[in-house]
Amino acid sequence: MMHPKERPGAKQPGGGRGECAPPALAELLLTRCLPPGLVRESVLGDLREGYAARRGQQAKQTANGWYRRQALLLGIRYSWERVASRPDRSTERAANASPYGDHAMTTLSGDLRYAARTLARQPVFTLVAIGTLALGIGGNTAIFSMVDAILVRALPYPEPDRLAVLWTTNREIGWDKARTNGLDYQAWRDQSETFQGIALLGGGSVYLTDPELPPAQLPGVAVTANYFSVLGVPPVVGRTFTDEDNHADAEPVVILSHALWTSRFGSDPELVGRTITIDGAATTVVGVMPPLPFPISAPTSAHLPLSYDTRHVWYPVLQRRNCVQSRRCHVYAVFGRLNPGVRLEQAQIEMSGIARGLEEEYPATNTGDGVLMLSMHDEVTGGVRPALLVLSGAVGLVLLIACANLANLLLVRAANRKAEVAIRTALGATRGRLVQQFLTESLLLCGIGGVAGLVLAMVGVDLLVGLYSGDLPREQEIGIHGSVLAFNLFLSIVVGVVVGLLPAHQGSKAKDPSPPPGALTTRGATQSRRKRWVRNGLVVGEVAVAVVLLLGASLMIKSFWRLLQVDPGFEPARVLVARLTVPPALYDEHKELNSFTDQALANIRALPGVQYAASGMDHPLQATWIDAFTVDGRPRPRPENTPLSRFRPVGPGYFRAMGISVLRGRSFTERDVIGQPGVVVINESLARRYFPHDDPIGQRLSFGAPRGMWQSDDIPTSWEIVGVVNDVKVFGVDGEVEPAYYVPFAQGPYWWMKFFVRVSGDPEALAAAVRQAIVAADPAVPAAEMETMEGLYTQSVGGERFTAILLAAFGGAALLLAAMGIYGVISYTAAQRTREMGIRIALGAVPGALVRTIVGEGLGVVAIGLALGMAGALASTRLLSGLLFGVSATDPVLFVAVPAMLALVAALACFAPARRASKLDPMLVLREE
Amino acid sequence: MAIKNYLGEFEQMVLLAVIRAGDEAYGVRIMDEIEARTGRGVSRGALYITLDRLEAKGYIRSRLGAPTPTRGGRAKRYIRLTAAGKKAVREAREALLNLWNGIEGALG
Repeated sequence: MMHPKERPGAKQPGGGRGECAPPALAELLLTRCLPPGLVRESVLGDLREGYAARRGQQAKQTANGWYRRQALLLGIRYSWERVASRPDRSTERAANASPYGDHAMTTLSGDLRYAARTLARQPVFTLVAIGTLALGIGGNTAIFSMVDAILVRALPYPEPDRLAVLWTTNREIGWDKARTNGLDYQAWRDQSETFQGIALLGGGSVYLTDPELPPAQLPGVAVTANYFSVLGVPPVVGRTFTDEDNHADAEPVVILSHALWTSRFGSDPELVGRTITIDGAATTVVGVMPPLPFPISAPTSAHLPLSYDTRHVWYPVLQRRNCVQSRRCHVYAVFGRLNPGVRLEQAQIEMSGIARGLEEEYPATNTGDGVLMLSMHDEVTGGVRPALLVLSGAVGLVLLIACANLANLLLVRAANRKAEVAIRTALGATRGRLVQQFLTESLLLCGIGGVAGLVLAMVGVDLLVGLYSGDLPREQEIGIHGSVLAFNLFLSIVVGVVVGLLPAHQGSKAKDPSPPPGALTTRGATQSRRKRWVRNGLVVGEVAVAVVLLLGASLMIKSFWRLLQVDPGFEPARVLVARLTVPPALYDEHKELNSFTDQALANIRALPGVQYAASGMDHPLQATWIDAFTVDGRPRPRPENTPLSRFRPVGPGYFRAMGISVLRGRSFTERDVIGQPGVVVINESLARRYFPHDDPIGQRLSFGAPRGMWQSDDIPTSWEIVGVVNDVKVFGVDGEVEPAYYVPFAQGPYWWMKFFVRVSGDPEALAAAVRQAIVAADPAVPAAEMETMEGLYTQSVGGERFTAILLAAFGGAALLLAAMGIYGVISYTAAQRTREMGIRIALGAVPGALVRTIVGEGLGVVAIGLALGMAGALASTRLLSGLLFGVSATDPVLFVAVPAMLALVAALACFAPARRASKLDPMLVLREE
Repeated sequence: MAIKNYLGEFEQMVLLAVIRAGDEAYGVRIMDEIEARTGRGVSRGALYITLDRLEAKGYIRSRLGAPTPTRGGRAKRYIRLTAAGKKAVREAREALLNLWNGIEGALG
């Protein structure tokens, strides 16, 4: 609960001042970098002033970004200044330091200063190393901040492990996770003994009309009285519901969300006990809940998201008209709190037993029904868990490659410092003392890299969350918290030790107390076979890991591309969606509701640029209700074979507006209204499954959903099939197609409605006009929310897009780092062999042959890495298979193309140093000796 | 000219901007002054480090002003030239003028 986003409603102490404060962490880090006193005071003040001026003109994000950049640049500048302006005597002091006489802290600060000076003397090396580390550590920190907030941290309720979510399954009709009806819920609640309590909730919408405030339409959550006690959350003011409240004829009561209480009612504690007008009825506010996330519920998708800071109300489910008393109406979500000590599996066994009992008792409705239980944490976050785990693995591999690179760079440095080591050893430095010095250096590098990585992560987290265009669970909890800082620190230290140990071990070796003969000249730098293998081994590992990452990334990209190639069955481009709820209190007759819809449509169609406009209850990507139906004239099927189908009320012109083709028969017309014979259009899947041999057109279906909503005799119960349309992918584009039938919206209207408008130009440009056209039909109806079908379509692939983009970025980083690593090792090896090359050229070797030798040796090392990497990829890309769509985890094309590309890059990385070596002037080389 | 009295181009700009800003010479104001007069963007880091360096050389002296709310309660660092600073600017100007003297024609 540390992230400021979580409580925009909370009052900042000190009024407006908190509003203008720059990013706190950036300011804190900069403060640390600035010398105390006058400079710190004035620089921070100047930056504040600039920030305040920017906040006056720019968005908060832009100003924050400016501040972070300035803080970063200034921080680096001052830290650098501090290192570079230090007097040079530290070199001597550190070189002369004796392990015996020195106080440990003096040694450490001497080591640190010496390390800083040596690093400052080689700025290119230092910047490359720090940049590599910043990317590696920063990427890991950013991904960890998501993993921590979403997967690791417990839900913010008391004993959250005991909370479980319960769904209905049905083996007969292939429901693996579906909503539950109100009567099954009652049976579960009454019969189970493993639960302390089980609560039900459903979705809805309410309309607030208080004389002194603007009207507002809000989400309403229909709940049983025990909803809050099962969660374990007490109200901040007032009380929660009682069983007496949950009756159809009880006095209307409501509980407000914290955000609604603060934003609409100014946090007035006196509000509790007073009445507000909801859907035209005076309703008593009995309580206000704290600013926590709560499970709320859309009526159709089988998922229970947590809602943060939404303005909404809770009301007792039985106080309103709905279908909670029907066994066929699967629109409710159910969660419970297990008794202490009960495991999920035990409760699952009990619930399955209860479901079997219900099957026997109510064969007509419950045959095949089972119960699926998930912990609430899994329910909330399960959708993103696989992707997050894969991304954590991938970013970890990037860090591994970065470590190998850095270890290589440090090895080379260690080898070049033989002379220094020899002198220090001669002056009495012990091996331990030398190792300590080398480790101080790598730790200092990693410390700076870690801080830079933290800054990257701070910027990166917002980018990451923005990149995820769908609904990211617990998004509001993501941020740089204490655990993330600890992770960052831990990672920096581990990396510092890991990359430092090998060079420290190699560099500090001084078998002979007297300097080796060549140590003080450039000679004798020919490397031993073993050392070469250490470096080559690092390259092999690096290439292998890069192959695994790149293959994983390319599989995800190919899969995402396949996903975009899928024909969703409709054309999302250039379609506006206006979503609104008509207040039932204003329109309690279906005919009035229809005339509102007709008037709004007429207004929309009169707008220039509108091609087609239609009404409907849901857009094509929404999973709507499932309803049972029978085919007239066929023998009544056994209950377990009762056909089920998605139920979609849509108005005339819907198919044209959405770009769905009518394959046979006709679509709906203006004449298909109440009072006329019921008509229905079915999709291909329904036609294929239930009319495999005969013509569906002219046959009749019977189903009761529209009549169930209105309880009105003039709504038909039997409907004639007049047309067949193509299938639409309902559960997002990677989902299965299910049977669906469409009924005229006018023959089964509902208060939740949408208008679909196909336009000739840019849909966004028409949004305001369409919204206005609907308001003009009745100003008392709250204005519609506008979306584009294209945007909704993008959201439905948001998760896949997110994983594909990030994996591509990580793969790209891996490729770059591996190429840098190969280049570094080959050019070092080539430089070491300068003398050999010079002699060979002097003896008549052809430059081309030399290039071939060096490149060949380099590629030999790379080839081993490639082979290992492909084996690793074969074993590990299977982990991706759950995330892949339309591509096999061992896609042969990619398994050839990716290693080939890597080999090509490696060859290029080898070629440059090889060419340089072959162009040597032999005389110069030999004269240097 | 002795090396220790040599002023870099940016140092000169900063000193001149300090003189121009008069009593109002503090970080933001100096930066605005340079940017407005030269049309060049100024990096904060470069400016602050240069100020520190000039102060170390004894060309400027700084004092803290009163904190203001728009600065989050932080004080301003007001800068003014010392006698040595004025001398250094004047010498730099003379050196440049001497170099410029008589070459207008050569530049065309």
